[in-house]
Amino acid sequence: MAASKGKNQSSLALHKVIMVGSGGVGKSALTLQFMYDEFVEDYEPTKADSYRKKVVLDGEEVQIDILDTAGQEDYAAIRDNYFRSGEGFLLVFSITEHESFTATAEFREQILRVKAEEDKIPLLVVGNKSDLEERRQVPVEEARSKAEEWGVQYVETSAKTRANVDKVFFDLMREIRAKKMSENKDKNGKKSGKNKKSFKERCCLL
Amino acid sequence: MSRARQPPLVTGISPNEGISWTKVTIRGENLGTGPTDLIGLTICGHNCLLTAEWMSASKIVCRVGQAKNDKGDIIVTTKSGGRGTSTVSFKLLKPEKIGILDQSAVWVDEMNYYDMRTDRNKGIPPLSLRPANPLGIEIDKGRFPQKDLETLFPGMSADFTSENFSAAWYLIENHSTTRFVAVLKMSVVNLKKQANKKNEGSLAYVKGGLSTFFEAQDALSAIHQKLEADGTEKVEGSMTQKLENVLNRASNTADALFQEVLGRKDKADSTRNALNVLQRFKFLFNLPLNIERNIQKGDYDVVINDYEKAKSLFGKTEVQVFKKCTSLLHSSMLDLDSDVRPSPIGHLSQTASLKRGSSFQSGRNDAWRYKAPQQVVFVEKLTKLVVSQLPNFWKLWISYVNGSLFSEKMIQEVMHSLEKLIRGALLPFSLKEGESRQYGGWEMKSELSGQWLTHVIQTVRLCSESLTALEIPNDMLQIIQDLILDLRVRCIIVTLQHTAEDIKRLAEKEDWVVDNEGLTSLVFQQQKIQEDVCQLSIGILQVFIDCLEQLSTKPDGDIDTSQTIKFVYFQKHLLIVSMESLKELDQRLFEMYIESKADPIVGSLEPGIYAGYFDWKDCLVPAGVRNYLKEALVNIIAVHAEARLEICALRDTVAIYLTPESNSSFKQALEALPQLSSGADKKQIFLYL
Repeated sequence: MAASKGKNQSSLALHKVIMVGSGGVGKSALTLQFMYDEFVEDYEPTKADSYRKKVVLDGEEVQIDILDTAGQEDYAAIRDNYFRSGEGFLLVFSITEHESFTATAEFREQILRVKAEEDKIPLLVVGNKSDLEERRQVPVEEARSKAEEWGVQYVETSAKTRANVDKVFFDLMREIRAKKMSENKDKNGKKSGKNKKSFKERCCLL
Repeated sequence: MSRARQPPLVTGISPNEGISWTKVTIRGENLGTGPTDLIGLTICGHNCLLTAEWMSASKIVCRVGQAKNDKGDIIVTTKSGGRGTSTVSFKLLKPEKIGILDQSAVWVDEMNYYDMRTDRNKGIPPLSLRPANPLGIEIDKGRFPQKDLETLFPGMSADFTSENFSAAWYLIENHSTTRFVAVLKMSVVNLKKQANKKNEGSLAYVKGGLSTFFEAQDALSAIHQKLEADGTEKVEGSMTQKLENVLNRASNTADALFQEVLGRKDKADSTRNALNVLQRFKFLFNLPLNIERNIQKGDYDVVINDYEKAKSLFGKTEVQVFKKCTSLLHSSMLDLDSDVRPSPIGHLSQTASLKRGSSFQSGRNDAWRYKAPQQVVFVEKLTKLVVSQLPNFWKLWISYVNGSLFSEKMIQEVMHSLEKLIRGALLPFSLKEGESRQYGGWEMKSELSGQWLTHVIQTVRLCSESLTALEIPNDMLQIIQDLILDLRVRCIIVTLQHTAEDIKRLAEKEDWVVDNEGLTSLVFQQQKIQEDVCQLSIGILQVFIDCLEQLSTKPDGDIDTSQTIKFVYFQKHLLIVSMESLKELDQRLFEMYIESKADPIVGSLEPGIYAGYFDWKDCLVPAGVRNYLKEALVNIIAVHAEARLEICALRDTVAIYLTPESNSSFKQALEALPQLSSGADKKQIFLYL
């Protein structure tokens, strides 16, 4: 039974999501809330954590693979490798810390640099800790205008109250899926073949 | 065990890579119902159950162990859910040694990373002994940007261990806000103190780097030896000379240092040893005093005991002190010896002491020493025996005098009861019902075997013989004789029965394991025995026959001869019958064997016979035969004719010399040949010839 399950899992579509952002903005908290409906109070800097589970995206069973990265500057050098393997990014900052918001620009630049050959990268700007309204340092308008400038969606979340947590992950997965499908179509168009999948596989074999 | 729950599924790992012994948090579903439910945890194929700490059904914390695989699954096994799977994997990094000063992109936990044991022999570099804050006042860093300072002091350094140390830079960097008068003055004092301490603490410094110094010394002495071996002349005032002097002095100082310590240690050790010896042999050294004290008290037993013990322990010692001690003891004991003799101690304790004293090897031939003479022992035993037995005899004697002792009836009763008891034990069926209840009661599962019966017969016979020797009248012993006869009959019957059963059982024992000689193992095992038995049986039969013959031909036998002959015939009949039955068995077996062997042949032949549906009725009358048949027939005829003619010819040629005997033999030879029945045949013969 386990084996069959494993097979199913491996045959499912896999979307690779990477959590990006400064240290302490709540990347791990968002991930754990999404994965296990649990809110972790104590802060323990992440090095690099992997999570993968099955979810139902618009009626279709897919797998989401989340790479929770380190926000600390100490790990900046190894980020390039992480970013290369990602298909979509959640660019997280804390609305209670303006520095974390300004850092998002640097993170975005790094992502774009690593993924230079790709035209549009699935990315969401996430303002976390929305439950701490009284300590807000980043106005909604500022964040939204920045997101519009980049041409991406801006969502405010709270890992504590689980507000919008599922939304950011599922929206990102939709973007990833859309991008994959358009890429496939492009390939189809170029090859002008209907059974592109088998063709592609043959190519792989060769 | 039914698995009510789903198998464990690991969906998260934090962190997803690391070196050995990294602490990892495993998250997932159905990771067990409790700490005891978790029965297995492997990361990259390495068992991590030992370090695993179960937090909840979705979280386990553990440390990864040493693993061979670089990347692998996290498998959780629980009692309730069985063996699980994982959607994420852990990558085990090889611990690359990163130096203390090397730059690293990742955080390195130095506590686990650096095994201090490997660095122990290297010694601590002298630089590390420098204090972090030489001035001993509060450091107030970071007011001036590093760049500015660099431009201000080009080619200098704030590091006080470097060659181009700039005190001003150091002060500006670390103590820019410090007030000069009070605090900096104090810092100067501190600095001076530390400098002094460094001089004082040179010993500590040497101690810290002792291994380094040893290494250096070894290397230098090796060089020195090499130089001397090469025959290099000593040049006064050269560098090596100076070094040598220093080293020699150092080693001398060290020797002196350690000699003192070692000397003290040796002294302490010897004192301790002496104390140990004293403690251990306290008994011996205290003995003279104790003995004296005990003599005064009159406890000679104790004295002698102690002396014996000491003697056995230290009698053969080589140690001078012990020898001295024992000789002292010996002399004191000799004194005691002479003292004891006339002293009026209680004689019991005296004999005891004296008995023990006899084991002293005092070398004096003492006439007074106790020795129990054999005569005394004899007398003692004799009197004891008489005293123990005489009352019985006395009672017997009284009853004899009274005349109440002897009575025939009594003897008879004894005989009867003896017989009944034995019968009850061995021949319960020969008793009447009442009697058997009285004398029997032997709940035997199986009857006695023949061997035991013979033994019993022997016993009973011995009994009867001894009774006969007592000259008890024969009629009284008749009962015993009858009993013996019955027993003998019983014995023979039982033995025969057992033998018959044994023979029956022989078939069961046979396992039909045939060896390469065609014998079964049973036969093989008992072949020798069989031979012996055969010999014995034959012997018995022959002797039996001889005996019968002797009996039957004995002219003046007590037994009726005709009866004997009848008996012999009966025996013979018995033998004949048994032999006949054997023959029959043999015949039957042979037939069965033939049948069993023939069956397969017949079975294989029969189908062949009927294969072609051959029927004699349908077949044509044979018109002729093949040529080879004809040739064979003709050849046979030729041989026949030749033989006949040659015999005839021979007879004719030797006709003159023929005797009636030779004539008859010729006739026989002719008869042996098949006769020619018809003239046609004869003709044919001639034709061939």
